[in-house]
Amino acid sequence: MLTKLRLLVKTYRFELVAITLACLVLAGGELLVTAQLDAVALPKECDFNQSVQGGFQAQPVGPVTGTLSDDACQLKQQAFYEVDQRATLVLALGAALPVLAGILVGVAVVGRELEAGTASLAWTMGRSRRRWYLTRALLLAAILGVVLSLPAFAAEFLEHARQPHVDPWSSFNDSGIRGPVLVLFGLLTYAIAVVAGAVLGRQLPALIVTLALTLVALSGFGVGVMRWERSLAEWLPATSATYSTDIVFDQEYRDRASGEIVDQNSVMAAAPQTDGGPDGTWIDAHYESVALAVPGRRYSFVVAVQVTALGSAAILLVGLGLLVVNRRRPD
Amino acid sequence: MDQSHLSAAPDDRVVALQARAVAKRFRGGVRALDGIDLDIPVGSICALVGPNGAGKSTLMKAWVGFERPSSGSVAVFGINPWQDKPAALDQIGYVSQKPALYRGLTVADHVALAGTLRAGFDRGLAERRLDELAIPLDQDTRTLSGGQQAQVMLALALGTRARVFILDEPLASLDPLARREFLHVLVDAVRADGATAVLSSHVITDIEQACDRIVVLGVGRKILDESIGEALATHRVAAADVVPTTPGAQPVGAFPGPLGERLALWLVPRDAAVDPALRAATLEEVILGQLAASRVPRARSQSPVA
Repeated sequence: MLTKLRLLVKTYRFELVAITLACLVLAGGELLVTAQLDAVALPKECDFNQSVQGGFQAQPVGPVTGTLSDDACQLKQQAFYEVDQRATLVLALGAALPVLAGILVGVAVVGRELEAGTASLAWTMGRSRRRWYLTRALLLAAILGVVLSLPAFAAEFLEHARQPHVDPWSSFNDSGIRGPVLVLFGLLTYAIAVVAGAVLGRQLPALIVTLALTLVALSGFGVGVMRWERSLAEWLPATSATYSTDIVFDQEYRDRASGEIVDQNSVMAAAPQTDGGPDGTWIDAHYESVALAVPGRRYSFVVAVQVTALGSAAILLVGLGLLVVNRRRPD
Repeated sequence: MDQSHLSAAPDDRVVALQARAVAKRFRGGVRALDGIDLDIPVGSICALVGPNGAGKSTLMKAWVGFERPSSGSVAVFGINPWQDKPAALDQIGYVSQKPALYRGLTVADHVALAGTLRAGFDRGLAERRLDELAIPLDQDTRTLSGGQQAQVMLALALGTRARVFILDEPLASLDPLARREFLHVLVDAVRADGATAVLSSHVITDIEQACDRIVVLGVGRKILDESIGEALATHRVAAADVVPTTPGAQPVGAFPGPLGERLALWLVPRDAAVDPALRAATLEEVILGQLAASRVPRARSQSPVA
């Protein structure tokens, strides 16, 4: 087994060295920005977090802990958000890397063997194409998974630094661009690339097709996840914490007497008018501002389901690749 | 070894490779093979020759399990590669048309790789053969010459200690010396182990020295299938306008000679008194005459040019 692993790593050393370097550099960048954010040491009373998840772009409602008039706080906030912009850039790079790494390694697994003609050597030297395929596909997937874990989990530290007073595993902020889901995006892309390489037998066309299919697959996945998450949503009192940790889909009012959800226009129309518009005191007395949201405490559950779905899809695709390899001509 | 499952050739020799009414049609209606019946006896070194597109590679790939016949069947020591591919592959050592070596791996890495892929792979044998040819084991295969790459492929195939070796135009890109060395290694190894080999090639002079049997394919059909000795003993050549007096002589086909002259191939009875106007045919002339005959309806007159 060690010989197999050694030869596999040697055969794919360009791809493996490239993605390992990229992942190390990215993880290093994430940890550096984490350290810079930590160095600012933003106090909790100055943490004005405006992160909004979901499609709802309204400003946060309810009390905030920051005191914008406080000069010291403003200086801290300014320093913090300057560094935080770098965090946004690093996290965006981190979101693209798994897809690129998955494509680079995946198309080579079978596609390069077919293109270079080495498949005919391997498929006649060994008695089982299944063993040949599964050994290399799974070993490379394992290596890819480990390597991608470096930036994916460094992004968790970065997230904690971005929201220093929130547990990242109880917050949907930056979900999908950190943690295990990111690794699974890479593995799904890898599996698509393996199948594309096996079907097309040439690396460049397989790379292009994989890129297109991955964009479609990840977009479809995003839409599906959004719909599923909406089914998990519940009406919660709207606070700044809601907007910094939860996925918010909608914001309305709840009638304090009946508990009924009432849309904002109806509330505004029913409220007595003052010179400054609807009477806020009257509204607060009769209605509670609520948000339709998936609470941050469900983050772990949502991530577990996403990981299971992406992992299952990747396994199915690797199985499809096996069918193709078993039936395919080597040239 | 129990050989009860093995089929036999018409002359009762055990058959290593068999084809029965094999046809292969590709998309677009292209016929690569058209009803091939063939038995390659155990222990023979058989040359498979024919023009480009004759179906040589397709037939070889059918035995290896890379091409599924559209109809008919192939067998390797009685095993249909499409019904039991692992068992069929256990019998085969294969050398593909173009050297299929991994970029960035050394020769020793390839030997190690073969060891991980094939149970019972004889690393010592492969390494000895490479050593005899002075091919350094620690050399990157990218830096080897074409002849050395072909020798590495052959050493890997021989290391399998397979019972039958299938070599798809392994000489195509080699210079004369490399071809000679390659065939020398092949013949020595096959003879030493009592194995069987089939190789396709366009280089007739080399085949004549290395092989004991020849199969000529033309446009998917078998044109000639006999021992090289028999083929040479029963064919004669004359100028195309000569009608020999040899009793029982049959015209085969007319083809151009090296200087543009028209020559005719004649089939003569083995022990007949041969007309002095007929001279012994070379193997190349036998093949050219047979291919020419396969391209036009055979004239049943006494002149092959008719």
